[in-house]
Amino acid sequence: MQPKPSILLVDDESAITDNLSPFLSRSGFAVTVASNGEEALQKVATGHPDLLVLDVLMPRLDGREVLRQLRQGGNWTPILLLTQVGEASERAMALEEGADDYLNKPFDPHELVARIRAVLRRARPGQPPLSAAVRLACEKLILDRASHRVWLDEAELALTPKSVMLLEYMMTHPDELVSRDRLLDVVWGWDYPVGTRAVDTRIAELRRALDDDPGRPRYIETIPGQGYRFVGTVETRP
Amino acid sequence: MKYGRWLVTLAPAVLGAGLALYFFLSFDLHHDHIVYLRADFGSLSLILGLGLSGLAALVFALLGWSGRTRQQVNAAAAEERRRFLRRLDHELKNPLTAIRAGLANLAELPSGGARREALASVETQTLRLSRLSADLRKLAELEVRLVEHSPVDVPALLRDAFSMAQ
Repeated sequence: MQPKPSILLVDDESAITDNLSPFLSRSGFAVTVASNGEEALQKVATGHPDLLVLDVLMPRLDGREVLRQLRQGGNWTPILLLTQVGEASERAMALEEGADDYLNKPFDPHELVARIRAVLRRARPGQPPLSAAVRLACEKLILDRASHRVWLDEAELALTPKSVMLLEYMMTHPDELVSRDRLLDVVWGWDYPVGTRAVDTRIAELRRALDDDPGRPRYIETIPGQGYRFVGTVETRP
Repeated sequence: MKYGRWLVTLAPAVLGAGLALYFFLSFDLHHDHIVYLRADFGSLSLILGLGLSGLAALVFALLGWSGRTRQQVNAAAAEERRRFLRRLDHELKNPLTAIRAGLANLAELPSGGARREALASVETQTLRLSRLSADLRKLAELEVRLVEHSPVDVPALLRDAFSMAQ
């Protein structure tokens, strides 16, 4: 039997850790808890957890600083940030700083478990996650995340900024079923007054530009009634 | 800062009045201290032009200064509001996150100690949210209510606050 994946749950709010920790344990993880950033860094150094669930707003050392210190020290333990911010740009920044994924509080604990599993599945031990890479490639499709430019067959594609953000999220979460609500939250922000139809419109735009047949998708697959999945194999490019 | 503009405006008048008083008292008995100024039209228009430009520059500088002060006050108020909203966001989201996790536990746990614990935790968090909403109502009232002025025993007030905090 495989050992349970170990998770370090970091939040200064004991009400959250008290309730989440038994839930995560029942979901098949070995859970340890830290109540601030300093304690988290110590426990990462001594316990080598498989993944960190890290709150952003904390006393002493906040989550973002913990993330920065770990990544600067070359530690690529997968990190899922628990954010409070509503701005899509702030969340994009969290991913650029090397978080593997994030979840907005208050979240459904089942969603947290699904994200943890997805991140663990994607994780490549000791290596930076796709979400930290500047350039991603899938066959002839190349995405430069710094300049927000996309090329297919070496020809640059003219895409709207929202479509690029959408493609970026899909490519950093390959082989993962991503719901329309999640994409809406990632690209438009939770308070943006558009419906999930806006996601479908952008996906259609991407498919047209990528010449992707929905019937036999090379890149984006539709999961009826649930959402979308990036089916291509994504690798990092220098 | 509040009286700065008055000070700048009135300073020349006060200075002039002071000098007038001084001359009046010193030279009251001798009337041969009158100063006559003569100037040709060219110089007079130049001096008048320069004087008016100086005055206009001063007026604009003062207007700019008061505008900047108002902007600073507005920016500080906006920042204060943003900080308040961020704090409120944090205070609301944490108990809600705990409640959602607690409810997920309640749905899965068989009756027993752990289930009772989860239930107690959810109750505690809902009470916390109720307190928060009561505080917000008080805050809203404070903003619209008329300010009452009455004498306050500050040491007694501080003692009360201290004992409450303990």
